[in-house]
Amino acid sequence: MMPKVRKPDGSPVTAQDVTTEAWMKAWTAMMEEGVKALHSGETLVDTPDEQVGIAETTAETVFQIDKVRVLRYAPLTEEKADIPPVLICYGLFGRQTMIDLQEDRSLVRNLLNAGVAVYVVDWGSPTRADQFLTLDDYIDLYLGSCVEHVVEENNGKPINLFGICEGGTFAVTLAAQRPELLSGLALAITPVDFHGEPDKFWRGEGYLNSWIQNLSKDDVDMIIDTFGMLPGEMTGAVFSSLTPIASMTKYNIGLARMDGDKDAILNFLRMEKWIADRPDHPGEAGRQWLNELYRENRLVEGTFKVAGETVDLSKIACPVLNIYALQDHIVPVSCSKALGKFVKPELYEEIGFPGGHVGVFVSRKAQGVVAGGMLDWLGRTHPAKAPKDTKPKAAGAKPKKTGSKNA
Amino acid sequence: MSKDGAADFDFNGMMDMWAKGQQAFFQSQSDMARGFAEAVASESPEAAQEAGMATWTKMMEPFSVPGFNPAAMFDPTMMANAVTMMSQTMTGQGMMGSGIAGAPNPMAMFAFMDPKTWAQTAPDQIRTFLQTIAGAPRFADLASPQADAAEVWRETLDYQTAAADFAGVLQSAWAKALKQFSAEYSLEELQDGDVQKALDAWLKAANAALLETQHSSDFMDAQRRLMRAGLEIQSRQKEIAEKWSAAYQMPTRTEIDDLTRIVHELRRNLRETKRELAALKASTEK
Repeated sequence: MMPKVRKPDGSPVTAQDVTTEAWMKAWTAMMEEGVKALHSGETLVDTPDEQVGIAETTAETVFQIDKVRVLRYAPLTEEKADIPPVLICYGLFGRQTMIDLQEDRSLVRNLLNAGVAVYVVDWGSPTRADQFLTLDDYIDLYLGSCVEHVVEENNGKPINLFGICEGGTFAVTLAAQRPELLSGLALAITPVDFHGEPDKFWRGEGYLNSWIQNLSKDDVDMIIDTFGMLPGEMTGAVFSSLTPIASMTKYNIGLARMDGDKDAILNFLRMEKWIADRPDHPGEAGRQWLNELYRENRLVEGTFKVAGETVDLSKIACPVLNIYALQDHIVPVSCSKALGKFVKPELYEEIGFPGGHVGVFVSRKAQGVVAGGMLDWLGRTHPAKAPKDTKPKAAGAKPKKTGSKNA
Repeated sequence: MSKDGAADFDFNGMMDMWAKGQQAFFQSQSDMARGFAEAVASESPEAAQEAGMATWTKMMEPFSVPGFNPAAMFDPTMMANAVTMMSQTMTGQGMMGSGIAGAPNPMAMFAFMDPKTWAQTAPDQIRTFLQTIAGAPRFADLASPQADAAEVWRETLDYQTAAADFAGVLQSAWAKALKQFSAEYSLEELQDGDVQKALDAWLKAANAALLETQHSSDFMDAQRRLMRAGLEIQSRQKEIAEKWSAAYQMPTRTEIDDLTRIVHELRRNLRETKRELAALKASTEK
């Protein structure tokens, strides 16, 4: 601040005057923030939990095996796109409700509005009674059975599988082992190479990979043996630590800055509801996930086995759309893009979404880029059966063919 | 061998064992008494006191906190003053500003008495001591609660140490953040009175410092040690809970886990059998 030389009455500006002025400005700003916080507080009081609805698109259970269910969403349009159904498979670290968090930011609704038949896998709520379930069970038995069911509903014809995060890794594995079941494989924020390219990580990227690799096999075993599971509270705390200041300030500064904006606060609360509903990850499957994949990187090393067979990613035979987030602090870009090294170039396309891990689904931008990009890809990979409407498509949504095995 | 085996009992052998055991016990008593006599039979009482003080000081060094002088505890005046201060504290007269000449730092003295102080900063000797107890051989027909307690105490110490180490790493991250903030945000800018700008600059500096620290091996190793120490305590809690469950005729966590594993394996075998049967049926129908 440039100190004034003279006050209006002609007297010299003193250090005390400068300090007083600065203090008044600071005090005013703090009061303004306080008022904003009060506004947000009022909105919170006026927002009962029942108003914070997530995953409200109607769906019914069409298949169940143990705790795992397949839900079929009710169509939102009478016209049907003549393309195979899409089965969405989320991971076990969070709930599939992320794909339908709110009406105007719902991947599910975007697909349904285009006339696509959409199914989703609900893994249920694993408890210690499920602690001995392995990745064999989740990939070969559960996901395999879910896909078989949707194929059956599709008159025995292959379907599109859309895997997200850990669910993407499951989907990739199943696609390599049972290619006859799939007509297309879409992936989002999916780790394939669990070590990635650390020398290319930006600050904040790849911390989870480094953290897990710093653990010994014995450390991982100790966690699983102690809890029987990978507790949701523990994985949630690790995810929160990836964005330390954002996690520390979301309930104070973050809420205050919303200034009572009902929509912003509802968006925030929906995300909170999703975060709070973090299931425990079954122990043995978690042990494999951390030891065999994160630490030993067996999937790209060609030593990962499911149901007794080594997974060979080059056996993926259907078109692949790989969506990754450029600012993903959980799954580094290089960990996802690595899939391009294994799939035939003519089958492989990718979209680099300019946002973070969760933003791929919940940001406003994602509705155009991700949903639009996916509809565009579905239309092109099933040319005689294009979706009726690809309206959500936005600039930059068109997937790019890499044309190179080293994409 | 006789019918009841009594004729084969080695009575002389047993007597010999007891005699040797008693002899060993007396020998150890004798050795201890001799050592004690040598310690006190110094050239002069002063020399004996000095030797004792030196030993005491050496022993207490690891436990010392700033401002605490172990040697001062041998000063009769100091000791008298300390007793007076203790008395005043107990009677509610307070200990600050007591006006006692030459009084040691009372806060340091009381800090020394607080296990929270020394347990975090100098647990090595205690750990060694506890390890000796915990690692002692166990007897089949004698309970060893002291060994169990020592194990629990050692694990608690490990956790406290790991927590203190981890806090130290985090503290350095915050210090780094402050340094960065001070370098990037000038006093003049602070004087501008724009608190939002200042807050954003601070959050940015803090986020950068925390992320950088999180990627350091110091942080990861400290967090890993803290995690392991916490898991050890969790395991101990489970052990205690299982003993309690067994005592009250309740199934333990381990027993339920065993059952879960059995059910899981049975279910898997059943599914494999069903698959094989279906495949067999399909092949025979062809």
